[in-house]
Amino acid sequence: MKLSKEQIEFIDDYLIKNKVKYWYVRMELIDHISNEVEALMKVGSSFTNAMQAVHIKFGNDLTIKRLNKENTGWDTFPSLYADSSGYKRLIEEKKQGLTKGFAKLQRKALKLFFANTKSLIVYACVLILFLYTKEFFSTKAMHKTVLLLLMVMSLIPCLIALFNLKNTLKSLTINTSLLSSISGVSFINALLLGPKIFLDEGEQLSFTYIFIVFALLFPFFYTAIQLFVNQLKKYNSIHKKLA
Amino acid sequence: MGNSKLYKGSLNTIILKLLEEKGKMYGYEITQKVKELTKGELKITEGALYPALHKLEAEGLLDVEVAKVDNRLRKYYKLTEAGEKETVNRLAELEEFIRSMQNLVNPKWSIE
Repeated sequence: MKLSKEQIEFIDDYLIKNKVKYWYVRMELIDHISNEVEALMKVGSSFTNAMQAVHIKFGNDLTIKRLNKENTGWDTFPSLYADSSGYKRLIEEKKQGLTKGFAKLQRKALKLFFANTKSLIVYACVLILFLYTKEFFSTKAMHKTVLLLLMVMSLIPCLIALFNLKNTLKSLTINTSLLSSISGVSFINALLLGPKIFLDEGEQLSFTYIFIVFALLFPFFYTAIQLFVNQLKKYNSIHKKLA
Repeated sequence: MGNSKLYKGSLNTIILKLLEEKGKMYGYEITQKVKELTKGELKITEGALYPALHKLEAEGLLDVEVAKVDNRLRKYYKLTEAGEKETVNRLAELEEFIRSMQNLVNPKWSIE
């Protein structure tokens, strides 16, 4: 027995009320729950009972406790909206899975970056340009430029996401990909701003140090932007096909 | 054998193997197929399946496809080119692991 359009809409509403906010996560859960409910209804269960069974299967509690009229004890009621900890846990585990996956993909992308002739030429050009500009600017100015350049690179995925806000907000995958791609900001803070604490007033980080940090972080941000754009493109194409 | 913990470490390989055989599958279908193949001994929970699928997708080993089926949208997973290569590697690793375990548990018996 297949569920009706109204029953599917009920499941969507049920998931929204249980704080499953990402549309793509909901879409997949709606299908999974519908399959489970259909299987239970096939063996005689009602839609309501099947929904309650699936709610528990996902690790959520079904019972609401209310103080009775006499204030002497508790009355219990079954409710699909009593607790959504199971879904919360599922989304958290999904996030962890995605974060681990993106970290692995980033490592692969970095390896590819150093194995690809085109990206190596870009890298070499950027480093040569960097060394060339040293002649015209002070170390302090170079420090500020590197800081600004890396900050801008780390913010590019945020700007792209802003222009694709609707799809970004819908997808947990794009959200996690965005967070992974901007995680390098902490490296900027640690490597370019952190060491200043240990310097005396008027003292500067050496040009060699700034150059090494830039050479290390540039490939990271370059590949992070590429990975984020690829994820966004993938989900935009899925979205276009559905429209 | 009702010990799901023994299967847990191989969940990603199980998913990749199923997708290699079937071409494309959706979440619920994977849980049912595993249940059927293991005669109910291994029940993959949603809490384990979806994070594993999303991790494999993020790693670039799986691609996704969405289709409208029975008044709702269904997300199918399929192997990417990198996923196909990884499946071969992981299956070889798993076979090697099984062989080593057999040598440890029962040195006289071998699958070769």
